[in-house]
Amino acid sequence: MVSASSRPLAVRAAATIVLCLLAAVHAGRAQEPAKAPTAAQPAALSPTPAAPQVVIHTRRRLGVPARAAALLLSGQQGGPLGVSALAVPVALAASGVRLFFVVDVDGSSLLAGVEGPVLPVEIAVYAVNPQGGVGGSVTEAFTLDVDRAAEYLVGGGIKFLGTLDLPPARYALRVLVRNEKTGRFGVIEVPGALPTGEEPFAFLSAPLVAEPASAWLLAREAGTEGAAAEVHPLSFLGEATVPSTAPVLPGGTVTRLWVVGRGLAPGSTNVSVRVLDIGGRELAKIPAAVVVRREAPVANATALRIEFPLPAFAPGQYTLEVSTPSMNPDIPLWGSTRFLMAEKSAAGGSQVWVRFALPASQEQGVRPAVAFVGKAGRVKASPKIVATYTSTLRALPTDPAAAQAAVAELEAASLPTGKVAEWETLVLSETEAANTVAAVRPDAVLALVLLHSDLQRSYSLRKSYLLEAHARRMIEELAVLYAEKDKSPQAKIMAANALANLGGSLQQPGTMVTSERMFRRALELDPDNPAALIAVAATMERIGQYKRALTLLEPLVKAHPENSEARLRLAINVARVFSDRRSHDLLQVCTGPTNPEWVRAVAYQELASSLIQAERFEQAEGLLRAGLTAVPGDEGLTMQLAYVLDRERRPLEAQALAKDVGGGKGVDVSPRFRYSEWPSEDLARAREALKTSKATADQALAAALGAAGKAAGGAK
Amino acid sequence: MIAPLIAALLPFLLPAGATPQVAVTITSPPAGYAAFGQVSVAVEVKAAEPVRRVVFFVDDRQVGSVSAPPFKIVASLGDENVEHRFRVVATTASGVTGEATLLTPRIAVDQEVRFDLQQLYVSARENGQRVTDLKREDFKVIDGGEDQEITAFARGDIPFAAVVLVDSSISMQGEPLTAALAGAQAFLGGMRPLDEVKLIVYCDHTITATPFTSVPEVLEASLGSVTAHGGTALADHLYLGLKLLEQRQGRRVVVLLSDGVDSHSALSVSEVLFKARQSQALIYWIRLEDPKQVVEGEEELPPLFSAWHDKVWYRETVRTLRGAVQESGGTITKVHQPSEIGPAFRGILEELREQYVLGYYPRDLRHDGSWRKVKVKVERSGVRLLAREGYLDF
Repeated sequence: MVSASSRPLAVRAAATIVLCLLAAVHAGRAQEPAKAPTAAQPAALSPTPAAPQVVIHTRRRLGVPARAAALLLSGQQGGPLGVSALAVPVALAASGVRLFFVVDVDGSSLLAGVEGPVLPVEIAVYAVNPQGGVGGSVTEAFTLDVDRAAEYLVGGGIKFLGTLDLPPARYALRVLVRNEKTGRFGVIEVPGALPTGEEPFAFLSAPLVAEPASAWLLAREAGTEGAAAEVHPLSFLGEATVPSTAPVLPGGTVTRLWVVGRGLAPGSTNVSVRVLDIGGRELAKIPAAVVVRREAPVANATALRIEFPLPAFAPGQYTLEVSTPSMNPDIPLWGSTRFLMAEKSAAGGSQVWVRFALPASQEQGVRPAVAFVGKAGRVKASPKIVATYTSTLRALPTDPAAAQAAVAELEAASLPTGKVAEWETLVLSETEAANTVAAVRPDAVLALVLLHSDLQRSYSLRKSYLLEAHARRMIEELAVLYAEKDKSPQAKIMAANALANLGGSLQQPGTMVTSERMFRRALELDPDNPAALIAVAATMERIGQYKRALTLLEPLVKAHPENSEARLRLAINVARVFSDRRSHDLLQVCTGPTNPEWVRAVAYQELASSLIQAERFEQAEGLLRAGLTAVPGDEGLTMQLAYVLDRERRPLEAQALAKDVGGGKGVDVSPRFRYSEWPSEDLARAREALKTSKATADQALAAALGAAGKAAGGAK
Repeated sequence: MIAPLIAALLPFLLPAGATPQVAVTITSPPAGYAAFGQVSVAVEVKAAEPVRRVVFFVDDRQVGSVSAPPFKIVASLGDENVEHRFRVVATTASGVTGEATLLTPRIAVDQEVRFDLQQLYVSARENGQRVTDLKREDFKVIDGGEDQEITAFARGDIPFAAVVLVDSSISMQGEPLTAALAGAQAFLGGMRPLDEVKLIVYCDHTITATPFTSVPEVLEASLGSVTAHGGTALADHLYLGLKLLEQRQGRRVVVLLSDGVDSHSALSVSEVLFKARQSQALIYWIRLEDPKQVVEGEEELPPLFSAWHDKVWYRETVRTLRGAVQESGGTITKVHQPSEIGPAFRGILEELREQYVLGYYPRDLRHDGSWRKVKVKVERSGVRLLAREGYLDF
């Protein structure tokens, strides 16, 4: 409830900020014991630890920079950061109203353009009255550790929960989220009417769709042990609902959500739902059933839990509008939210990091924080899964297809709902079995790594995302186990190859961060791994981190001087960073006949480019003619030569060249495009090395399982 | 079955000594006019019996044959200014032949051509509407700081030679490419007989490039099998288009459809700017824009990760390209939805049909390759003019 504070609310709004990170589908580590919320008590969240920490540094801020303020107070909406929000009144008194707000920030757009290890984010929520005055605001700035947070941001995002205490007035809630480093921003206005403190008023909130209940991860900021639990602002709904501002709803299923309304027609159960397309056209109108009615903290307000069958439309963005009659029968109330229609079979599995802060104290910079437990309990390996998994492994050396199918069946059966606890149990079980194998024959673990690599590919093709994520996890766990237990240099190389192979398969939008993490893990095991070195270097190049690319390419070229692509990339990045003679010498080597044609073409183009920029056209002409002899018909070299001839005032010769260009002379990709693709030759070599090792690993596995079986029989 | 029968009986049906007549007339190209490039060759054949075959020869080389009406083919003559000899032989079902020949002349070069004639193509608008009633005396041209006498003036449907550059990189996948090709088709469909267009579809390399032609069907045929893939070599292909326009006479136009993000060119946009200035072609840019792009001041920052270039480079490239379009007297039409591409193409065509041409002989040329600024003004207030901002004084 709004506190009868002596602090003037018009001057300063107390805010409770809740920070969440919406994670991609990849589990953290096992949860520690937690106290699950019950229906009989408010959804109080009891402290717990255990999840991997994403380092978050927060700092309070009073106000925003002038430019940001202009954006907030203008009528503008938009910007490259994907932002959506909702607001619900949760308390009402004569002194004003408490608004609970949720802001979702799209992680990928937040990460775009980020360079360096930190991501400073600022969020400002302002309640602005029609006169342009600010009734209340909250601004929070924090910094994320990119290396740790990025994996969850790609495909996920950041969720802010907070409350604003506002004096009576009518407001528009405007939200600005800014990447402080790049300046990229998103600014929106929360749709729908906000209640005033004036009587009488009626409203219906936006539909409150809970984030999937399948996973909560925990976070605790160091030094916050023992802090008191915070009562969730929406605890009056009887559950610790963390609503989504742009929920994902599977079509063709029964959908359940809450709405909070005031001034509803007494005893009314007449609630209907409309689905609108992105242009506002009605696609469906469905009656909804009210299954629960609860009192809300706002006086005379009611929370309704409704359910209805959501029709299945093509996946995409739609609007869900809930309406119900008010006390004035001529005036219906409605609240809406945009949502994404998902396919019915889409598995859940978003993971929410939650961090709550107590209400801001009077002291600047003091932000005690509490962490909360989700629904997971202590997780252990399942003896049944261990036994079944071990049993299926016996077939692996002789009938790999059957073994793979059996493991796939086991894994699917072990993850019926995709909840974190199920997942952790499966991981622990399969890892326990692997440890048993490793105790007998450490070199046999490679066979399991290869098994899960095949499974990962299979799941990816079938678009079984949850199982695919599990397979990725197993590859990583088992590769590290293999390297640790076997201890030989060859084991580290093979383990690194397996991780690099996985990284290569994930080099696409949505999994880039996980891909890079796999390559880096490969380098932890084998610092000279060519596939990993060149892949991470290529990633650095793509984000403009040329110096960091050099730190990877130099040792690679030193260890593998025959690697043409690595030398070419080294040459180009040396030119970017140092612009010196060394780049020229490296490029000259790349023009040699032992290099692949595309490498030669790019090398000649880059050499010519620097001569053209220096207006040394005669020299450029000689070089380009040599290049076209080495790489006949290359379009880039032809264009450059035509340009040079133009500059030498020989337009007819240039014209003759230009006329010859084009017509698709059997070229699939240009050499420059080939350069911009992910490096593939070293990855191919890594895969080949794994393939060559398979037979030996399978034999080791057979021996290990045989020995383990005898030992078990002897023990009995 | 019937034709051979008739052919066999024919000699017995006609009066003795009479031979079936086959009259062949070449209706295209027209007599007395020089012929270049892709030319439609059409004939009329009048015969008392069905025509079995019509064979076409150009310069004694067989270039095609047709066995059913309409008797028409398209022949490629090349760009040289030479005479061409067209010969057409029609053969009837009975084997009787008739033929026609046509000699097209070369253009006689027997007069002095003033190469320092400058031609400015000017668009005029008032309150967003095109202004089409201006007269020669309404205009004022200032070249190199001096007023110039306008010696030639025309308005309206002046033939042009255009290169249409369509980006078919992976970013154009789906609806954007479909709309782009449809838009290009609409542009081609709006051609007049004396217009010439060359279509280049490109990604990080050239996918297809047609010859210059005034036959829309030749151009449209190349649009059939295009799919979006690969990167974007915009600068390279803009250079290519400008270069190939050099040899075309009259009004030269480049229509570029792209999002302006060059990722794979060997040439830089600033190198192409030199060519743009040299060529004096009008450049029209239909710019596909992502509405989520940040606008900070006047600079657009595409959200990209690229092995070749960084944000700063992209910003400079867009700025330079924008400058090149502006300098040329062309326009940038921003489109945010694929459905806007077709109208953008049509808008360019309409503008080309309504332009004024002002010709003058600049004074005090130095021929030193320096940039000469040109300004066009009009007496009527409220009228906004768009014209080339200068040229390289070679």
